[in-house]
Amino acid sequence: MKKRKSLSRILALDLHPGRFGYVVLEDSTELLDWGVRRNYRGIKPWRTVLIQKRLTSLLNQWEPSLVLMNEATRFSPQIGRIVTVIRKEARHRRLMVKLIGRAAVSGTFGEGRPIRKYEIASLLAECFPLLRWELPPKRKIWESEHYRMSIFDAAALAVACLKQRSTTRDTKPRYDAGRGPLSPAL
Amino acid sequence: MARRELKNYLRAYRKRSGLAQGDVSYLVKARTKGEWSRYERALRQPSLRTAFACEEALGIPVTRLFAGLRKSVGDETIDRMQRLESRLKTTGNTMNPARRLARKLQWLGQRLADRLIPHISPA
Repeated sequence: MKKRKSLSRILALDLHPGRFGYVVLEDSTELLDWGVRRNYRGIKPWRTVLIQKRLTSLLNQWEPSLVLMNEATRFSPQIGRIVTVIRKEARHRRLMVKLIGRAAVSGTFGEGRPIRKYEIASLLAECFPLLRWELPPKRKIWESEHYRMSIFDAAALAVACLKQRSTTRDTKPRYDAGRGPLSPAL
Repeated sequence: MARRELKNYLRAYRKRSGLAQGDVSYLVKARTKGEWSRYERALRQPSLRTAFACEEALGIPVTRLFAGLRKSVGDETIDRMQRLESRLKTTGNTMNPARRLARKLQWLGQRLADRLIPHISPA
């Protein structure tokens, strides 16, 4: 049986062109840091460099063992460049990188039924009370998405990944029953 | 795999409190919020006075706030104690009488046993 690495710290990123939302989890349940790093200044290639700088500072500070990113079916060229930069940096630091698809996230929270982004964010705000005051007001149909929703998207990635790990662990013979990595009240 | 502690958890506990860097730098009497930022990123180590101020402001013990630093300093000290013990055992200390040397060795042995062997409760 392949031995699984335990995840001491997870950095989950929700990538957008010019900004990314992030969440850092320790021991699968403890929220260490969260926020949005933005940069819309300068010409586009230069923006990627600045985003890389912000990402490097995060990696230096939190020393994660796993980096999670959202998997999009069609990345914009700018996100593509950021993903390449992240992969390079992760290879340099010998970090695991995992892409989580939208289906996995909605499967984790929706349990079969379609679920809206705001509903997921509300569930996460209940799970992690520290994020409650970061929850933006519900978006009106004519409004663009609030930038703080990126934090919740990143948190959703982390929870989906941990749920995946716990379910795959459940299907295998367990030697440490009852000590699963995460049991958020979803 | 054992969890590798971070040098400090100042940022994590500050964010939990909802305070901004400027607020905490005022509370702990740091010169600027830039100075506080350098503490958070472990680029600078705060003075003992500032460390105690952090404990008071954030309500978390210093040993938890600076968990990684505490561990590395502790490990280094234990390593030095072991080296001192072996040095005293092998060469002895010509300046000190035998009783004093015995006391030193007894103290070092006790400390190392306390630190290295996990405590077993009497129950």
